[in-house]
Amino acid sequence: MKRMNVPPSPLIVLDRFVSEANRDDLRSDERRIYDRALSLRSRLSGPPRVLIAGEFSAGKSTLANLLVGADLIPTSVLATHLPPVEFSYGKSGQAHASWWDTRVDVTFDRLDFQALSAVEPDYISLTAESPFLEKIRLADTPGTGDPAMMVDMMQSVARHSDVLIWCTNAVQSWKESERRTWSELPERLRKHAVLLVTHMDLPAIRKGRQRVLDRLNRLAGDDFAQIIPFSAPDAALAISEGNVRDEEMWNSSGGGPLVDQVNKLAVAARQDANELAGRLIQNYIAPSLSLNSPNDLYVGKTNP
Amino acid sequence: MMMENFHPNLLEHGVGRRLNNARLALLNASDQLTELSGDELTVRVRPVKDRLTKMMTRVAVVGQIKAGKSTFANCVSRRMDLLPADVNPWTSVVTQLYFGHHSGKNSGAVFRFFDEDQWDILANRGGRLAALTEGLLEDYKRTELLTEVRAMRMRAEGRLGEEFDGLLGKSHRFSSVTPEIMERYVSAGDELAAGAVAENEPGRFADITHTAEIFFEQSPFGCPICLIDTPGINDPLLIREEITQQSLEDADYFVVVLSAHQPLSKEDVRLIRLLRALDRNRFVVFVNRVDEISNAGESAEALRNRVAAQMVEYLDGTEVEVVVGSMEWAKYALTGTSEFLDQAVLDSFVDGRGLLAAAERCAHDSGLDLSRAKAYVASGIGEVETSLSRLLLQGGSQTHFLSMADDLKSVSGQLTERLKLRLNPDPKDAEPAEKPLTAGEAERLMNSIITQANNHIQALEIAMQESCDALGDKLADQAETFAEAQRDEVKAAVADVGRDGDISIDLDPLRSRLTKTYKSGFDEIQGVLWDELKSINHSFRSAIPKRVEQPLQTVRIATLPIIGLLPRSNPFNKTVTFDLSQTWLAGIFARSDRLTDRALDTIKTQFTDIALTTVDREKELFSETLAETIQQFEYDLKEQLGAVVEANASAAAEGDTVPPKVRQKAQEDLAKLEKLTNKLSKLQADLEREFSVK
Repeated sequence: MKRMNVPPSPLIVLDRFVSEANRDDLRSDERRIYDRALSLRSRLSGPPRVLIAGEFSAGKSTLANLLVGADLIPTSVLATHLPPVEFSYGKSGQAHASWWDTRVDVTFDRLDFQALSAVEPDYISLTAESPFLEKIRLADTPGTGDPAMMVDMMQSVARHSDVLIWCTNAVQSWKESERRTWSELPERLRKHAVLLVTHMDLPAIRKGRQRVLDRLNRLAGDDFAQIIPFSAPDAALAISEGNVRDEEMWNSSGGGPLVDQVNKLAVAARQDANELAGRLIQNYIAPSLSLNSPNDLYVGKTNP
Repeated sequence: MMMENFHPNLLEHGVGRRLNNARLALLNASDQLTELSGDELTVRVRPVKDRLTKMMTRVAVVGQIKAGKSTFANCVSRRMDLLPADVNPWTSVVTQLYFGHHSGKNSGAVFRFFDEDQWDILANRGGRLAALTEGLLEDYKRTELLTEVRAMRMRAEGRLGEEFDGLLGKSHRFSSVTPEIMERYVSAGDELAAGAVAENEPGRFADITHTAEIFFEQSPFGCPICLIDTPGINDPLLIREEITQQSLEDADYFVVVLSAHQPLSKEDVRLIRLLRALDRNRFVVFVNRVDEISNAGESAEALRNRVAAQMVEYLDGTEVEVVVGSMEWAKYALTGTSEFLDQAVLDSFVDGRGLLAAAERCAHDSGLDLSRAKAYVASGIGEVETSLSRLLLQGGSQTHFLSMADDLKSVSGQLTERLKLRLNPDPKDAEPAEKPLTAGEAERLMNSIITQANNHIQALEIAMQESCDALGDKLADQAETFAEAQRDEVKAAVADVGRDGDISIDLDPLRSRLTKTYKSGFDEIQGVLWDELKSINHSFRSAIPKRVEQPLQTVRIATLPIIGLLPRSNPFNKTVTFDLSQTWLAGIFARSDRLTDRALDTIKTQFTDIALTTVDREKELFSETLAETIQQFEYDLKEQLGAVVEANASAAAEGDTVPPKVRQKAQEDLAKLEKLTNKLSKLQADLEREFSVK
């Protein structure tokens, strides 16, 4: 029996599998395998992906801009609709239109949302040199519940994400429509989730802070790893360009606890993804590629 | 509950005053008629008078949880501490605030508890929602609903202890209400650990309170009004959805409160589409909490325009008034105190919207200091009250008033003729060939006219019943056809999309098709009835002898009560269960053919039931109106013929010697009646012009 000294990265296998297969030619059960491979490939292709989700105007983009360290995406109750946006660590400047499948990214030299949206990508991918992005990637999605949006794009991003930050506006928090949308997200994602209660800075909310949190604990306490109250204006004062300047304020704003919890969940989710990918390769991909041993998968790939 | 803190000039907004002016003018006319007839007409005029006295406009405040509905109701009531509000969803009972109730009650409150049956349906079986979804919901969701219901039952029993059993079916009355009393009955209260509960704990009676009625004098409103505060939709506690549905069915007008954080979400659209099926644009939209969003001053107008444009889109071109503002600012403007006021935010909003001049004008006119005047103009409270007042002129009031004015005019015409008869006109004016009418002749004439009219009405009644039945069948057919068509579509969609797809059945097309059929069917039946009544009048007129033509000229079968009947505005909305609970039902269609079949059967049955019930009620309504109309005709004819006979008899006995005093009084009365008739004609013209806004 052959023995591997170093377990090969499942990413390479997944990549080969999805590159060689054509989804349209597959049977429906094979398609499910293919889609799972596609999802795991995307999740493992960089640091764990953290999905910022919630209804529209819940403060998702404000949070994303804060963590990225620059106002890269518009925030306003009247903001125009964008495709999902992914932020990862890197020199800022370029923007990519990206797809979940094997299509190649289209690169743009400057951040022109109109041009980016015009090629109809699954998501837009941006880079920034924020320390927060060293361990994770962030994905911001258009909010659900907006009648002007025909398709809720959150589900497709959710299939390719590892950790969930569900933003709920403290003023009207955890409504039935939110609960329902959340309940339809993949269970493995919901297991790595925090509930971020935004707009805690509003005067009426400040005063009723504990009562708001008590209600949320009662209704959703069991469903999230942590419920974190968050004040974006305070957080904005505590950091600049992604660097924490005022540790105490950063923590009291909710930013510190959020990042700590998300990083912890990201580690756990990555471990899950690896295990899942290992099982998928072992049980389905290797047999379907009719290989004698999973190790044979890597032979051709190393030397193209 | 105190009003003293308010600035006096802003105490009265007089919403509904124009409506009330018309009402009071009609009431006044009916009193004058009774008086001029020497109480002869008291019985005849009473139904009109009763209707006018009891008139009550019902306005419901609706929207999602925490949009600010209760605070809105407090502000337009000018009673800031009336309805309890909290940082969490807090209203759990539909609360009816009566301003100027016809009983004369102007203080105090009645809290009615569920009776045994109602409580059993709600607390043991989960209410209509559970009944309608039995076998449809996936088990875990149904379990969740029942768990919630059980928790509610235990909470109620825990909070009330031994008292619980004695309370069902009873009510609690208070001669005056305090915020603490209100909180005990209408607020959700906090979930507490099991154990003894303090007497005055908020929410103590909330679970078992069925309705809350609070009474005030009419001010600050301009007409008698019932303002209905409702628990919000989209509450994860589903039992409150159940409660809110009833208020949707009850009200004539609506204020839809949205949050500026999420100006028009899918849930708001769902609610608005339900209201749209109410057929008239009988609601105003208030976008609240503008004080809580950033750069509100610059974006408020764009926000308003966007919501207004979306409304036009979702309402198929109907324009609805949209007002942007903040009830927090209204509170400050009206009372001078606000816990949460940020003056800088207010100032920047006023600048951003260019409201400074308006604020200065308001400060000058009202005597408010500039800061409060700014809050007043920025809050939108004045605008929304104006919109509401305009709104109240639409809807059913106009036709009702017109019909009543017409009826009073006809009665005053009859009284005129009777007075003229009593004046015993100079024999020289009468046709020489004409003989006076004897009592026997009058009776024969009366019998022949009435028999003929009754025969005609009976035939008409049968034809009407048949048409209504045919309409019911047609509606049931349409519901069935729709359900069958959906069956195949949904199954195909399930096969295509699989379990994860979000498949739902949009009932709006069915609703609008049924409503259209129903309305045109109603119009047709109504049109036939109207034509036939006119033709009865015509044959009656040609049957009366010439010599009594003059005194009988104002006697006729009233046609306006039939014309004034409006088709039921929202029969097919009663199926709100399916829409309001859509988030719960979403799972159904993607699950299995069996569940899809059951869901579609339920839809079919619900709509068919409603169609048949509606048509039955229509039958009753037409039937009652016909009966009332013919009864009134009979009464008028009898009185008028009696007056003719009596006048003839006294003329024969006394010759033309009517005592001068009597003659003078009759002549004065005649002059008054002429004035009254003119006044009624003018009122009719005004009603036709003023009320047809847009």
